[in-house]
Amino acid sequence: MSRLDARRSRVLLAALTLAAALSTSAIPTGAQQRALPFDLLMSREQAAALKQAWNEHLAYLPGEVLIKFRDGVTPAAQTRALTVLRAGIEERNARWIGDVLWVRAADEPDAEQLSTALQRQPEVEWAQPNYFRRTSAQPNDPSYTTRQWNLDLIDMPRAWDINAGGTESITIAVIDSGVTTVNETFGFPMWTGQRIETVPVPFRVNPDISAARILPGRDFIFWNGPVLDMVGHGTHVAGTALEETNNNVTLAGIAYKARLMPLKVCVGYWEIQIVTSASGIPGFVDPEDEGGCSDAAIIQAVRYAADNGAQMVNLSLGGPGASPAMLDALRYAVDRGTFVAMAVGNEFDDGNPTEYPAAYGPQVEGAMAVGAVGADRTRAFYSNTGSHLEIVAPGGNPRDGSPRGFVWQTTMFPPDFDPFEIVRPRFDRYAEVGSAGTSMATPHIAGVAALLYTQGINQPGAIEAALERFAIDLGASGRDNDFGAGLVNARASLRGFGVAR
Amino acid sequence: MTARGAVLVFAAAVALAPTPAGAQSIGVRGYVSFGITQLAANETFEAVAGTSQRPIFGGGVQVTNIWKGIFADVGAFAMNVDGERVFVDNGEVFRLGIPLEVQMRPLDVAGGWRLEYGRLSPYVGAGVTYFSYEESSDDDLPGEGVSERKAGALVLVGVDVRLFSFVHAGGELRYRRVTGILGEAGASAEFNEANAGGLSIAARVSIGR
Repeated sequence: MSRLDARRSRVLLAALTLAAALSTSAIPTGAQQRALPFDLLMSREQAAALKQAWNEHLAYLPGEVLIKFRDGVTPAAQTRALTVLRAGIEERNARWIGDVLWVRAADEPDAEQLSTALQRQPEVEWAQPNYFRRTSAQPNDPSYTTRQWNLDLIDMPRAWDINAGGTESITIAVIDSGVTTVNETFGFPMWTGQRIETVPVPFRVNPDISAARILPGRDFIFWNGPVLDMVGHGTHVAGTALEETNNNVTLAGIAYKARLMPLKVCVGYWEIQIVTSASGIPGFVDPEDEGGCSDAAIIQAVRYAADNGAQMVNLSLGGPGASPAMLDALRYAVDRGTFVAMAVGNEFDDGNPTEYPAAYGPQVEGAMAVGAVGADRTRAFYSNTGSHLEIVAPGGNPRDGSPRGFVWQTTMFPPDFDPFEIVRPRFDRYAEVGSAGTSMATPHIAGVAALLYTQGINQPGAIEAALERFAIDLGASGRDNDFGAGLVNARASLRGFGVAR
Repeated sequence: MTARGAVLVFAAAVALAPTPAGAQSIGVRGYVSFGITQLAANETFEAVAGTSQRPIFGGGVQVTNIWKGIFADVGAFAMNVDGERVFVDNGEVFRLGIPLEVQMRPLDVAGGWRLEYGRLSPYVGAGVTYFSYEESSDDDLPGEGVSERKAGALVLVGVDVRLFSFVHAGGELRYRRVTGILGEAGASAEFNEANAGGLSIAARVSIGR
């Protein structure tokens, strides 16, 4: 399959530079752009799109589509195909991600309709909405308990006897809300109740992950600056995969010698507030707005991880909407030797929808769909089920009613940035925080996979086979839709086979 | 060939063959042997140890000329395999760097028939091997190792050359078939190999009559 080269991309983007202007009617007259230390990647329109997707429970970001053209289609033919978008596209609203074109159409918010129209063009192999994904966690109040039932459940302490945390040659890419990579205070424009002010917002690297193990990573959604976590989800997830261990500080992680590549593709309340304020729009964003992640950012990050030496990718996110772009990205990564762990989602009680990218697990050898169990090894009440579920790991079951209902990791102290209470957030204090969800289950798989890689199983498909082969069968005998192959067993997976046993 | 089949073949051979010339009284000879075994689970051991051929050594006692050239033989042997634990996916082997040691200790009890042509004394036999199999890895926890004992079939054929009046040198082939240890789990199950035995070829030196 051919990839369009940069020159062709430029030709196409130039051709796409048409006159369509985005509506700015919602922006007060006189609104001024605020300076930031780094350029924002997210435009106010994108922030608005995220808010709209969240508030209206949309499966996609309004007006955004991902397009793949057939092999051999010329730039002129690509441009012709795009004429189906009535108002045309501004250059800033079109970007190549590998051989996929991301396009934002200002005049047509219904991305499914846009996709359908584009799909009818002979030049187009496929077109899809830029789906809106949510992180798959159920955050809870912070606690200082140190119980890590989850690691005992997968026989982790005895697995560390075989492989003590992997090596620094292994990189786990956590594609999520980010993991803060700098100890720095940034001045961000914020609405403080009466006006937009530049508010100093301090950030600090997680004290329980050695800075030497944290790669710079990359932000694909918020800005061109260093990766920052303003949600806490990415940091929690990363903690399970590789938080420092045996250092007498807070909690443990699985592959605690591996390196972390934080790739930010999700934003929350604060990023949207900052972008909104930076655009000169007064007022608070709805605190209920938890933000989300877009397919366009996710597929960029997956490809980036594979191209930059990550052997493991953790995707604790998902949502409805089949996404050929995501499937392509997963195949791209696995073909380059990168294993991918994906959360199946937490909506069992809300109709148990099939969520993506996890639904692609069975189609991509080396990418696994991960569900959650509680401390008693029963399916967590929220954990989605289905024929695509491949394995389960501890995700916590809050109905347990005890600290064992959550997975505990070190992440930012939630009261410091609770949008219901806080106007001037800070992200420089950390605490042990309990969360539950398939988001929490997924990094168990990424972490054990990292250990398997250092143990010698260095192909994604074989890692998946090993995890499934040695999983503890739960539920109905053999593979089933509630538990997949069963509960990951770290020690057995790492021991592999002897001659007779 | 099963143990029962081997015994039948041997009995038929005794009945049909001429009585050895120069029949003598019962004798006893002790022997030592050293050779090499081609393990039947060759893919499994190739995966774990990089080879399916392992040295074997042992010794035993043979009571000769019990009746018309018939002998009885009891021998104890030992062979070890050092390798590492593996994972096998679609036939591809991934070595895990976890040392693995296998100890096999066959105790062979056989009967046979020996002819004598001058200094040469060819023989065939069959019997039972009581096969002790132990497998262990570094950092094994209780219950993770393997210790099994199974009986299997044994067929042997060889020839001795008399060097001096009580000293013989020769060569021997022994085939052991032992099931119930391999093939149910581990790498041997992945390769569908269930026979823990194999074919040994050994040189042996005997002293006695």
